[in-house]
Amino acid sequence: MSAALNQTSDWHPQLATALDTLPGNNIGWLAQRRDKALNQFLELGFPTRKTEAWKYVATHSIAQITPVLSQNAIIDSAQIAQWRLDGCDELVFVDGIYHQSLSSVTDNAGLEIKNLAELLKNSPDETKALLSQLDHKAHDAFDALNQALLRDGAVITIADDALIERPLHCLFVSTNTSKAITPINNWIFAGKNSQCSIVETYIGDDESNSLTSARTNIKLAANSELNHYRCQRESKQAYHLAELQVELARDSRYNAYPIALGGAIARVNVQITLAGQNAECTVNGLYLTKDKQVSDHHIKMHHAVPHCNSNQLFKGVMDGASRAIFNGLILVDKDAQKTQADLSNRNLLLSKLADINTKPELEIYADDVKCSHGATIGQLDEKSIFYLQSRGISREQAEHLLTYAFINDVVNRIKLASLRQKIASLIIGQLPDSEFISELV
Amino acid sequence: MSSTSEDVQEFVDKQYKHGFITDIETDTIGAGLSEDVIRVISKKKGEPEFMLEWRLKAYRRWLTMSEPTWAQVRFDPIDYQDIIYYSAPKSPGEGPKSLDDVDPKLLETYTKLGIPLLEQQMLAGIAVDAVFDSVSVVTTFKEKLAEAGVVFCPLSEAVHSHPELVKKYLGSVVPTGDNFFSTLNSAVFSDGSFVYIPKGVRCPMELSTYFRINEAKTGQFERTLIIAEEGSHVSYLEGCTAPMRDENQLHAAVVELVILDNAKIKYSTVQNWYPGDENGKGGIYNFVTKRALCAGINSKISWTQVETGSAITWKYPSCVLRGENSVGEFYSVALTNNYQQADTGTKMIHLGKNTRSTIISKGISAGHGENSYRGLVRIAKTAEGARNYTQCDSLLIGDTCAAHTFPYMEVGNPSAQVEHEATTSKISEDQLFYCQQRGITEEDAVSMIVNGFCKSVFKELPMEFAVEAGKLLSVSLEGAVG
Repeated sequence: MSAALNQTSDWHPQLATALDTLPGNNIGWLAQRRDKALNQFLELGFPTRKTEAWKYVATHSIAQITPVLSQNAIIDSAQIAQWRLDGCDELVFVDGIYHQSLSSVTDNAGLEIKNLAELLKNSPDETKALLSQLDHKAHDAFDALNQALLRDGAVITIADDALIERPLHCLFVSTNTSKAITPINNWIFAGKNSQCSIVETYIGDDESNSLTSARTNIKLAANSELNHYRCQRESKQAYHLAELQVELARDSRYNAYPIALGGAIARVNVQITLAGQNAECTVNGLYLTKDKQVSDHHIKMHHAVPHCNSNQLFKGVMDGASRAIFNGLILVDKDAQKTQADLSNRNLLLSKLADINTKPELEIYADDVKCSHGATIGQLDEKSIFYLQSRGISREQAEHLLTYAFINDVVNRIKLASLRQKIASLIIGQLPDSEFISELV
Repeated sequence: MSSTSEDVQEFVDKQYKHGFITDIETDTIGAGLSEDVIRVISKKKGEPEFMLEWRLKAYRRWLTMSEPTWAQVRFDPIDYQDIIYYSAPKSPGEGPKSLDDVDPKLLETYTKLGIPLLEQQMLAGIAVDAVFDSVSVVTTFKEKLAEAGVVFCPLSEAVHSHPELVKKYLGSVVPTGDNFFSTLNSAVFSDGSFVYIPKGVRCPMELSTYFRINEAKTGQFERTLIIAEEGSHVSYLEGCTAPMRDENQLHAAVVELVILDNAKIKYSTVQNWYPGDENGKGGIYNFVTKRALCAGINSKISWTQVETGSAITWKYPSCVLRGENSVGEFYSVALTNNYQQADTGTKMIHLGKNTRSTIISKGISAGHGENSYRGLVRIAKTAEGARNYTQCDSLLIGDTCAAHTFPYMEVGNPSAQVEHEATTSKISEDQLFYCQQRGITEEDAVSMIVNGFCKSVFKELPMEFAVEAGKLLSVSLEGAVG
């Protein structure tokens, strides 16, 4: 433990300097809040193998990061053209900082978009109200670090009764090549009876190697609906540590699609609280790893009140010498009767050097519930391969085709067509025999 | 439901049936633990030097360890200096030669417990190595077993008669420093059973040990070692009851099984120690380490357990599947009522090629009971073609109980096939209504449904146990329904 303490304290001088450069740090309470979080970061120390939630991830490589903030880089529109989504409003952040010139937002009644850096600098009262919405204790050092380095992000408010037809795409581009830290904090408030689709895409240049520390806080008011897509394809040297905290009010519906494709170490920590009766949550997740990637998902589905449903499906494909970790907890409080909660985690292990560590958990304190979880780890079905071979397809091609079929189950659930196509072509492009597969799909 | 409330009250007030204390003189040393105490234990048992060294090594290791805190159980801290580490029933002479030599009061206790020690035993075909507190008093059917070449004796005797086997295998599956409680056990273990099945022998009868904790404040530290040589087969039964006590008693046992080529061990447990009263006062702390090593090819271990007793159960019978094609099975029913807590499950460590394992776990929570399944399935890189199937279901009775599932799956081989399924639900109103509509009372309906829920585990138990287990379950659930 003391060794871990030392490590975080190694970062202290540089971080303290970084804090001074952050927007709004001349405001007393904001500076204090950041300082408090920084102290928490120092106290907690980097998680080690003995920390249950980090049992399978070696954090020492993350600790090699330079504890300075990534700076505003200049890129031109052509560089990100391939990542744009048709038919969407777009907000573009480069190394965590909002770029208005690259963004395009049509006048969308009912959708209010601000950037956090502006708020921090110019509207302390509004910022205070915003931050008071989140009063949580950091559960690990990286979470505390994100709070200490509060810098920029999107603050999205969907008005009551607003039906937003044009999806909003938040594109976060990493270009930093000096192992710096990129903090991002997003807020999404869905008003009563509102409907909206929001896409968060995190992409990185091939050379980028920064640590992206991204947190998204979401609150759904009564009877609102939000489709939330979260696609991560950072470079193979980059670290991506994400927090997603969601709270659902009465009758609201939240559909999440966390898709993790990139990163040297990519971790997504999701906490969903069903806080109002009759709320519904579905999660369709996908993680693909190869080479030496590590992909880690920790999901906590918290049923705090009666009559809520949750349904989760996560699929993973591991190749090369990669490792995937999945931990899905369904927590049902004592009063949360009539809960229905399901979780399914399916994994395909393709290589002898890869591993998968999965732990679906149930923690149930109510009696009138129907909860189940299932996890499978296996390989491609020999019979299916044989069938395809008997139709004149080579064994390799058959294997790749079936692997994509396994993944496609999740991809197909993406409702937003432009995103679905983009993800599909991205995944197929990574597979061998991509031409063959795209011909068939 | 209110119509049955009187019956229910009656059930609730029902006392623990095996709660009586036999008043016999015991040879006890004072409470506390130190190197000297260990020397005394070792000397009293007349152990050879290597055993004393082994114990002391474990004790020194234990001093550096701390109690595990990861389990989903809560209890007041245990004062390890307030425990008596040795207690043996005093008998005239140097030890009983036949049943006549045994303290009559002791025999009376067995009769009360319903252990058929004599003729009944012949009929039942069971050899009982009865453990009364810490020293094995009577061992029957020895001749018949000796004929087959099977060694079935107290471990303290095996230390003298088969030192080479004890030296070779003791601590080979559960090493001395394995975990806090097993290390404590290694330092102070009192006695236990030793079974050796020679090459190619199919044990002619089911072996059984009846454990019973008697002397107040005596920690019971059993240690069982079973070795199945090539091509042998044995079925071992273990059952427990304990008298009523107010203070919590610690039980930290270790069971080690070694299975060589083509051998098979079936290990069944019915555990019904005192669970504490309806307010959660008293009861046994059952912190047990059980592990089987499938060392040979085609070896097989099958654990079956029915856990209805104890205030706290902390138990993970494990299988290390090292031999090619070896098989591990785990069938478990764990019931918690009143304020009982159980954190139990299994570990399947697949090391060898084509190893297979099955886990069927049924947890039932009632009253304020808290039941956790905690399991690990690890497929090592070397375990080509390994296969696992896990199913763990929880049944909730009443709105104050809790059920948890913590399965770890660590897979490092792409040819492995691992499946895990878990469900948690309550007995549905529809099911109850259907039974009641056909004239079955609510209590009977619940009992019937619960028994059905556990059937896939009960059918793995030997006949005698299956009957006992079913009965035990309904007795333990009394008062939980209504």
